[in-house]
Amino acid sequence: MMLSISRKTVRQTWRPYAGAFVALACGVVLIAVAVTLIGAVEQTSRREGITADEKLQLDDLAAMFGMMSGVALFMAMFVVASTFGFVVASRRRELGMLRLIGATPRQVRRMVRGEAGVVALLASVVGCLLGSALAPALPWLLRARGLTDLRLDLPPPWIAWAVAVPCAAGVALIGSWRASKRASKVSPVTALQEATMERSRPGFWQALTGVVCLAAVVAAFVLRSQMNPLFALVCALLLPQVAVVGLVCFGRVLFPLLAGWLATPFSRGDVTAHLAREHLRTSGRVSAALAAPILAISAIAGSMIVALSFTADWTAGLDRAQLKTPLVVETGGDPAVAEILSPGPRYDAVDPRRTVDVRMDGVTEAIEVVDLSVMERTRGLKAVRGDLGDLDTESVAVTETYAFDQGVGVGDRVRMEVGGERVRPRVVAVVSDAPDLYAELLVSEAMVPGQTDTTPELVFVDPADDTDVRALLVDTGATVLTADAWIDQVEEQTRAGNNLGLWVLLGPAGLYAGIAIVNAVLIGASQRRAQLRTVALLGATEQQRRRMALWEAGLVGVTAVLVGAAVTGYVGWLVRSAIVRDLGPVPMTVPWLPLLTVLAVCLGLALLAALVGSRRPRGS
Amino acid sequence: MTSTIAVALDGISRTYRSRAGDVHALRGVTHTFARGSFTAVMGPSGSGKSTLLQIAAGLDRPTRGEVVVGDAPLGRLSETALTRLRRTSMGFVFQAYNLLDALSVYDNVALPTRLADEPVDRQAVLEALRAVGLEDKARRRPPELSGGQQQRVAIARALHARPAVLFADEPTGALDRSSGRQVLELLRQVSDEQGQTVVMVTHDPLAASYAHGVLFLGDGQIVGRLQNGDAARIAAAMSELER
Repeated sequence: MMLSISRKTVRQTWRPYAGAFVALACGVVLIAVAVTLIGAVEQTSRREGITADEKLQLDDLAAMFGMMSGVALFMAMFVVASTFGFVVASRRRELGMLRLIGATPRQVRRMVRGEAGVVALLASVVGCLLGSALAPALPWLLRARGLTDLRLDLPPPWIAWAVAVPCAAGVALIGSWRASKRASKVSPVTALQEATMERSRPGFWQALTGVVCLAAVVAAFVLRSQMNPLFALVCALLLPQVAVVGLVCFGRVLFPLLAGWLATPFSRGDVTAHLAREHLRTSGRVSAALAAPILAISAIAGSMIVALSFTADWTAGLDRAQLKTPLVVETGGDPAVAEILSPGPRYDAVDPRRTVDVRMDGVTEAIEVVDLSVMERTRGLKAVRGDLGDLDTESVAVTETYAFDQGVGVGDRVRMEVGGERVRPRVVAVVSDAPDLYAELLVSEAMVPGQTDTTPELVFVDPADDTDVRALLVDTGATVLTADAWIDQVEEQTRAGNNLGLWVLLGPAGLYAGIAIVNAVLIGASQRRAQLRTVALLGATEQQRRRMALWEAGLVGVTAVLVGAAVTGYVGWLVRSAIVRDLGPVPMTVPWLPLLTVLAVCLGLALLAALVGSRRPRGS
Repeated sequence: MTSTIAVALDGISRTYRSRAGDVHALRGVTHTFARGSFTAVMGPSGSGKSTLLQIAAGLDRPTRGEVVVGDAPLGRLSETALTRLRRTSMGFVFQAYNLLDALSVYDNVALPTRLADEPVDRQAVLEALRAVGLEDKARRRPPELSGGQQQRVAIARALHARPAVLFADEPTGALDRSSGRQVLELLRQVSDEQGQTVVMVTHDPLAASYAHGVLFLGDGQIVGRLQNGDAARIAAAMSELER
């Protein structure tokens, strides 16, 4: 019975559900594509003649899509929750009427969940069809982008459907859970009330969550002097999310208040700004629903962008601080280069970088083979704890980052597989970080005799005064770089890698933030239609009504972006302070372009949606 | 033996707490609505009319006193039991028509029966629609009807469920004179022919003149009663109250 009402409600009044539908459908498409890709990887990797490298490449691709679809579904849950929150709030009177004529709270709850189920079903059908239509293009796209050279065998589409449909249903039900509970609490007497005041105060649990989250942000400030750059980086990844949750808990009070202040200088001279300000002050739900995705994406993306940029500054600073040789030679795999760069009177120091692949926790890792006689002079290798002189056939040294990440120290043992043999060497020293100069684990030559590559990729060279290294290597495949030029090149590669990671992580999040922004503005506009009619009756022109909508979206958007910028600034400052404490004043790179792009996209979407939402509906 | 009393209010008081102090919406109201009676409740704004209706229908709980609908004392019922009682024994018609826009006229009328998980008698639904003159509109949706027609659908819904008591709050408030007259005639018919009890809150003396009796409220108390009064007498009594 209630399902039938749910179906009819969604069919007759589909507009408010459009955002949830788009979000879920996108999630289903991504899941269907990810599952198809994982299946294709599985099938293809069973084929004969696939190398370990090719399999690893395919696994990485599948993992990337898996992560993107996971993020997409997680974000879809918030869009569904926001949509149904609006739907329930705007239908309080109707829900009260249902209760009045005999619907039990359980029946009302079932009806709202039924609506979520109907939306999920439609989104699943559309998403699965789109996903299946896109899947055949996937192998071609991956080959065209150079991500794999293999011809992938696609699994049958029903496997993707079998995974995507329950995921969409689960997300829709979890997303609508709170709204359905709230709907069931609507009292029958609501049917008799002309209007109800919107509650702006957060509930007990909401307030408690907000206080705890904001307390964590304050705690990070208090403990800032104890943070090393690594811990600051971990904070930079987690703290913005905690701050966003905390701020959103108080969103219905915070955003109308801040937007009101922001509007004050304009509201005296422009009646539309005045109307927009007063409307925002009294409709906390609309303000908070629009501000939340803008704040989330500007704070989280902004903090990630800034933190990764500052981390690249830090690693480049570490490299510069430790690299002692004036030249770095990239051998290009040419054995003649290694021959020419053999130690001898032409050089004060020659330090070829040598690594060995070992297996650790099922993953292949490269570890550094150290030559203590030169590495301190060339790459500034020094122990901050323990003694590098203790390195022997059963011991390793680790970097500070490795020790921090894995929680190991001098005297502990680590597990690894060297040349097919399982060993448990003891940590004898912790060395300072130099991310691009040596690996996180370092062993002596004695531990891995004869296992290093004969031709190193890199050689750190300190030539004697009368030696011209470039002239010596002129007929080889080597590239000779000054230390600064090599570090600049490595830093550039690091930043390019960071950008790819940001796309993978923030791409779906950005897409969903965009959907949530448009969704919130459009639903807010549809709820305000009656008020807009009244304003029109009182003489407001269409242009004035449009300006009013733009003011509202603009004020909330700018407020949310400013709060997001404050979070980004705070996180950036934490990371930067830790770096300066560690290394002194290293150069600072603020990535203005991506930051301003995030800001412009958020504001642009909000304003565009406001323009669309302010159009006069046909027939009104 | 079946009681002749449909709704009994015994010493009902309702106080709302606010920052400005306590607001006494009702002060010790005692009254019985007899079965088959049609009573109009009138009074100036803030006299407690709507509060009285809400408490009598179990939509709000009194601060003091007891309400009995049929044989059921509402104060002792749980929320679920109250919901079931509303489903079986009470009908509601309001100024805002309270129909679901997503459902057809037929589905709106049949809704209470379906909520009770009972089979819907199609003929009975159509009969209820015929009684309000809307049999041919069964497949339309509420937004496609005029205000008067929507109100008649709400009455048809109340007729179909055959509740013992029908509560109406300003049922003609949003209607033109002709539609309003039709609705009031229907309510009188419900009371006279079906033996259902109608309690109607109104501020319109003409609307109140369709009732068997009028209950006047002032400052949360019953300040007068009038049986079979015409619009002029009712208007005069109201003027006296508002003076």
